[in-house]
Amino acid sequence: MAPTLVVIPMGFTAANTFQFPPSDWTLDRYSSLFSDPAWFDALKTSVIVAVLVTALATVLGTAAAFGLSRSRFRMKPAISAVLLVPMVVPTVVVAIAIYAIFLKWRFVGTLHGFVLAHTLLALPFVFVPVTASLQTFDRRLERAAASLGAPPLRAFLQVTLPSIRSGVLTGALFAFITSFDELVVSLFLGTATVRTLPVQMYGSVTREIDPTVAAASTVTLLLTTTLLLAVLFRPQREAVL
Amino acid sequence: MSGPDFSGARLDLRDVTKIYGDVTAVGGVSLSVNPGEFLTLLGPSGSGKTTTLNIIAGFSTASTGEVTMDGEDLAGLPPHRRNIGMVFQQYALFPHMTVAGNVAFPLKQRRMPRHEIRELVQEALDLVRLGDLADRMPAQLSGGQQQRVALARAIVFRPRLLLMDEPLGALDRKLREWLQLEIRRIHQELGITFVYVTHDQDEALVLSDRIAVFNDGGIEQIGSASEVYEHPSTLFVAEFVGESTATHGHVARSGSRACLRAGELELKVDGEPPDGQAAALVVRPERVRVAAPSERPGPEENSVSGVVRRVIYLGLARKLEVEGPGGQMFLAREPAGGHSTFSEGDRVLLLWRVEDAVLLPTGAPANSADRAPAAEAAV
Amino acid sequence: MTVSPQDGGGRPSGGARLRGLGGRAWIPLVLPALLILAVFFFYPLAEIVRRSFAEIAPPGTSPFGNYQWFFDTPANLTILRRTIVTAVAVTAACLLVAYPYAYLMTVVGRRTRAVLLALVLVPFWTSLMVRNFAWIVLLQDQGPVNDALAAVGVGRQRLIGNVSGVTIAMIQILLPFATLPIYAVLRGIDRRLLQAAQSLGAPPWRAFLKVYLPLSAPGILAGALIVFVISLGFYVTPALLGSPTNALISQFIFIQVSTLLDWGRGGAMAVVLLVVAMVLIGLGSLAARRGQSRLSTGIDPA
Repeated sequence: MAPTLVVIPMGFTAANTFQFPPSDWTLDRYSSLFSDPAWFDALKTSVIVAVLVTALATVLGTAAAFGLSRSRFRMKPAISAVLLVPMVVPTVVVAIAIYAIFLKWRFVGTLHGFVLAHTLLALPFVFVPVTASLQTFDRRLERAAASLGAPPLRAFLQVTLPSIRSGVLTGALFAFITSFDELVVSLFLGTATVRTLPVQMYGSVTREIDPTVAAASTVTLLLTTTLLLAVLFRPQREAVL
Repeated sequence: MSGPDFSGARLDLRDVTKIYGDVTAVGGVSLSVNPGEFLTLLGPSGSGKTTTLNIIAGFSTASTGEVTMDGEDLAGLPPHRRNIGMVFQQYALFPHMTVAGNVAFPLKQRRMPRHEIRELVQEALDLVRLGDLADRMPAQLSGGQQQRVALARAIVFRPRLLLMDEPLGALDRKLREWLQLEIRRIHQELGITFVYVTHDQDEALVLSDRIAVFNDGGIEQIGSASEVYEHPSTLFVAEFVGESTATHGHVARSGSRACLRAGELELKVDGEPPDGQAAALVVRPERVRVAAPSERPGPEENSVSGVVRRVIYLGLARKLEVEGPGGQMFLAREPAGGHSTFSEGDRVLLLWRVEDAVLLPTGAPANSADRAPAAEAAV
Repeated sequence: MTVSPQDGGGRPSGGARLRGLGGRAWIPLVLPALLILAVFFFYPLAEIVRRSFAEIAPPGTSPFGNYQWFFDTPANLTILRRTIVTAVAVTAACLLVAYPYAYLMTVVGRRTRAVLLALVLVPFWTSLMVRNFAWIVLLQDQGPVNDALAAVGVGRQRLIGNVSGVTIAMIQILLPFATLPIYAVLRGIDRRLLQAAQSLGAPPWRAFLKVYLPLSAPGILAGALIVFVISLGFYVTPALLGSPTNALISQFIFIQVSTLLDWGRGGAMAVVLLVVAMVLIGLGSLAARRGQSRLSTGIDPA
């Protein structure tokens, strides 16, 4: 954890190098992060993609986990394994595979290209925690809801979903971070005009030595850490009538 | 109280079976529950009683047969439209809702106006004497309180039939006994039909108007508590409900009357059972009198001599295990504080009146012929 | 009312099944996720496999030409060897750090444990790019680590642009992947077993070695496997902290495809990497399953 924190002072450096500790201090890096179109567009794209991926992956992953938990199909373990495969295939392999197909379909450098690719990578991260919380979910609650007059969909929304809330929330958070943080696939899918923040950062580290990357790092660090701590130490909300 | 008709429903099961693959969970159950009746389905685990309850509630579909409520066929009606209340094992309270939220849930499903919901919730909570805990979360309640919330939730929408699946199973004995009385009181106050599942015979005897004893997917006997206890129609019922000593043998004649011959024992029996019939003579421990070996049995008494092997103190009574001829153990119960002084190792004479024992056929060929009429007679 | 006792065998299930709820209702829920995976994940993977056989440099040679090229070129084998050595080193280092840390998590109080867990999870979910950038800052020639080395008299080392920097950064980045599964297993071990072993005469270290360590083996296996497999395919850290002359296999694949546009050779290397990873995971989960069944049947693993 600690090594990562060096990016915070780096964000305030005035020098055009990565000299550490910085000799002079300035806020210029933050202003260029939000004013330089290359940086700001990348940040914007990243946020939009991550939000869409979160929505898509959470819905698909939760539906799959719920559906599978209700199935008595013989091949159930095989289907679970298939849904987890994107987690274990080396990212470079996934990246060139998606790149090959997306080149053909002209999805490279498009918003939907990023969203689809990131959704694949995020799916297992939703599926796993939701499946885990469904395992501890007492299915009698659904029966109780039915016996009290709730049709299946309403029983799911009013009883099941609130009970597996923490699993779904964790999955959504993981999906967001997976997308927001994704670099390897995005390196292939990014173009000069449409790229995500990690791609922009990667470029600035390898080519330009632009310390704005430190400001971007700090912002990213703050965002993901805040989200994570918020979910980890979330006060157990008392439900109201 | 709203609702046009708040009396109990009549429930009929006709020849209901449930088959999972090769396993017959319920094999041809027929029973009728009268409006306002308290019927208990009693049996060991795996005997089909919970499956039967789930078929009534609509969580399980009968493979064959028919379930009707007030004459209306329930087939095809999903659980949420059956209007049957149910109390689940371990209560199944919604953990993310308050007590009041849980009880209000069925009313919200029925889109009742807010003020009416509040009124009915309060009324239901008052009925189970939890009026002041409305704002608690289920996790903050004791087991007994949770159980009563579950009960309030299941009756607040005025179902005319209430199903309960081992609702007291998770509670300790004292609480269970008190809640049994509460359930009895609520049943009488509401006047609706209760179908109650338990494996606890004491609970069944305390609560029920009638008891259906389940075994191996079918009903062995159905009748009032005293009928089932005093006149078991099968050996299974005799052994499952209460304690008993069964002596296995064959019917024979001894002079002018029938008797059961088992090894060197010859026990007088009532009635005129067919000669040679394989049967068991069942006697309840509290009907057995323990006497000194010198005592002479009366003309209408059976006697067995034996040696006291174990004396068990039960508080209100003492139970004696006596080894009779051929090594068979007999149970006898005598009230505590009596003047009995027999202790382990003593020779004693066990005596019971002929009319206090029940002869039950056991042999395979005679069994199916005798069992059904016996069950009919008991009802 | 009538009571008909059960008549032995199952009745013929005549009459219509009353209602068929459930059954296949789960399929439409699972299908969208499977479809999206099929179209955007498994199909592209299949395409890469196809190209590794179809796009061969001198057309008309054997369909295994790209694989022959890979295994016949000494430079490629050097890269493969370097990748495996790095992965082994990273895995070993991660286990050495993660095991004591996970053990510590099981013995401390609830509050401390939450903090320790957060210390693992936060970097786990901190941007990879950010952490790599941090390591660049730290390990650069005039960076704080070199300043410290110079101050204690060791002298400045070249830590960036070679395998050592890559290894250091990868250890830090992959540490949570070892810590979490090990902790998950250690948490489930009944610590009274250690007391039992000691009461039976084993000194503490022996009790640990003979009882605790074997029980924690599934966690060690899982952690090692995950770290090793990720290390094999790691791209960002080697690309940023390493150098082209010290490339690992993932960089090489990347270059083949993005710079040289050689889908055949790049694809063949990707397939090799994929197969190695899948075989390892398969063996690992097989070992885990076997270990589990042995534990559950109560047969002593020794």
